[in-house]
Amino acid sequence: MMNNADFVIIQLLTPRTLSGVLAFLVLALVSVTVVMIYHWRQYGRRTRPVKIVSIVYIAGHAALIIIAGMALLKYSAVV
Amino acid sequence: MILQDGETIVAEIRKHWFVFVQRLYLPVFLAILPWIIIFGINRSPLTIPEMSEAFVWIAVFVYALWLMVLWTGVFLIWTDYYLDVWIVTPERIIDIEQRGLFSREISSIRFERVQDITTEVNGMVATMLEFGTLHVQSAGDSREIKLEGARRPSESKKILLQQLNQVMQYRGRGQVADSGDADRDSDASYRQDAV
Repeated sequence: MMNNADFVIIQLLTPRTLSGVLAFLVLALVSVTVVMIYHWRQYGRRTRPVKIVSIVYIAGHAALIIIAGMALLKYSAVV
Repeated sequence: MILQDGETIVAEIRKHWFVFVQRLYLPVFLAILPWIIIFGINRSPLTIPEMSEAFVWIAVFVYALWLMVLWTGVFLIWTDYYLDVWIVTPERIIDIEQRGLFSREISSIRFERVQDITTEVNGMVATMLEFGTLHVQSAGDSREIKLEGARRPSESKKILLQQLNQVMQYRGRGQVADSGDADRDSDASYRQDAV
């Protein structure tokens, strides 16, 4: 059952707005990631820890993006 | 890029993993903070209206974004930890210090100018896990480089002393031919503030 607080939230946070927020954050993080991985490869000299950390970092972000995307889809289906 | 032509790496002295773990307290705390807040609200006399499905999904979405930011923060800390390193070559010690993402300082001390090598281990954890601070003092301008949280400082000191002895022996044999060369290649230090 929807209450007043829910109504306000749904008015403000439309799926479209949230998609924009997600896209903005992903773009910002991609740019940081590119610089960071460049540093790791350039100055860490492609050692084993650098390779492992790159994979863990990207896998973690991928998982979180999928969770955020799924939550957004579920939210869109509810509202 | 950092090494000169033909220069080889004898050893790399890095920070101990505990130094990295120690710095994770803030991102970990920030990751569990929303749970603490929710738990606190549930336990307090304040009653919040029953959450609808929409609100739950919004909360999951926002929390995932929050974790993304923190995840990046954790790896920024790792970058700072991993790229702080001393590279030991047959001729010199190269000290690379990463400061954030866009600033790093690279300086080097040639072995013939090394005056003193000191290790410092403070505390129970540092003693048990074998990490501490390495100081290398150079002659002349009394410049010092130091690596805090270096792993196995006494072993690193041994490596440095071995190299120092080799350089001294070599210089002893070739002193006539090499006279005056020691100061020509004095400590090189430059700062690099770029991507």
